[in-house]
Amino acid sequence: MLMQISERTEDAVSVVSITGDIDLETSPQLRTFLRSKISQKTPKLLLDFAGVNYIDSSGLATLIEYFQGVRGFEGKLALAALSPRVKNVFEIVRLEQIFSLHPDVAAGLAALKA
Amino acid sequence: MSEAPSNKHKSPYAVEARGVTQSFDGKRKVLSNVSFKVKHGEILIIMGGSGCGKSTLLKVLIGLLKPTEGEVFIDGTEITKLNDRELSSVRKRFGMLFQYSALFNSLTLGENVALPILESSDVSPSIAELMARLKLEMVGMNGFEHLKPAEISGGMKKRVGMARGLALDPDLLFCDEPTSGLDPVTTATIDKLTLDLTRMLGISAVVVTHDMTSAFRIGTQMIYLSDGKVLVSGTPEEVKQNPNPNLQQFINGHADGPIPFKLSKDDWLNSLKKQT
Repeated sequence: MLMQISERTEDAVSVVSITGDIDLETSPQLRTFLRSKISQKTPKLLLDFAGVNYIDSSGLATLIEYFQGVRGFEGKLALAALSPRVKNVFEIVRLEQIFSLHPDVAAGLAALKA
Repeated sequence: MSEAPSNKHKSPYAVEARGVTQSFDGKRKVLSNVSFKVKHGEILIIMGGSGCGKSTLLKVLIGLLKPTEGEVFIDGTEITKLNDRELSSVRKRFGMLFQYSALFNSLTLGENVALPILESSDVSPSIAELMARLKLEMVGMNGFEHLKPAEISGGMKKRVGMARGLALDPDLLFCDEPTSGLDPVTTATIDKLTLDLTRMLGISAVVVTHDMTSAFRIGTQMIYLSDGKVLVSGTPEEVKQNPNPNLQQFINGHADGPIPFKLSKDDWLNSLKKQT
């Protein structure tokens, strides 16, 4: 399944909806997008995972790279609406301890605005 | 790293063998009409004594050997008639844990795990390095990525070998004698890793072993090979209860029983008489 990325702004937060599988084939597309966000020094980014059924380690690595890349300008990242399967993948490698994970977009926005 | 995407499965079976027969030199039959099915999420144990054909069967399953007869399906794709390029594409969907880990001594552990990622995908070296770190975290080896294989123990090598087997996020893992040469505690650790990772990642595994403790600890289905034939198959409980004397001798590790004590093909003494 091809991945689609769409972006909107809510309350000064860049909300990015991802639809499709994030795997070896599609993660370079996500990486290109996230690197552009680093270049733009996007201060607050919320990734809406409601449309993501599958993420592999290349997807996780891409998110880690972004997480490390925004530290230079103190950018913030949150993820919302992860399915139990996708959340499980984060937990296997303990990434839920460093990523800000939220049950839905509203909760993610609230966390980023706090 | 990830749960296998269920909607990507083309078949209800991760692996299926149909009537696999393997002969060498046109006469020496090592496998004879071997058939079995492995559902997604199951761990199949292939067990049997030395020389029973289990390593040959594994080579057929991963496409290293073309069987003399029969078919092998990996998630519905019949692999025995594929060319090298097509087979290479199928191989990206499964990982392999080798008996002796088969790590490159000249590379660090991190580089060993990253190698299949860099060889089989277009991801950047920095992403491959992060992926390798994630795999090492999965097998409890984070922080060791800069070491070389010669600097770690056999059990640690098995862990790294598993990390490399999982490098491309396969939904099927083949393991060749994953606990051979390990002490009981390290064996239990590797078994727990195999169980935990297959369950958490939702992947299937085919494990070749003659370690009975390990086989009954991790298997959900089993086949017992003897003289290249499937003598017994079933769940671990069914296999344990099966009265077949050959199987019971193997499971219990007795020297006396139907499995011949001597493997010599010729009666040596008779041959001596003929020569006189």
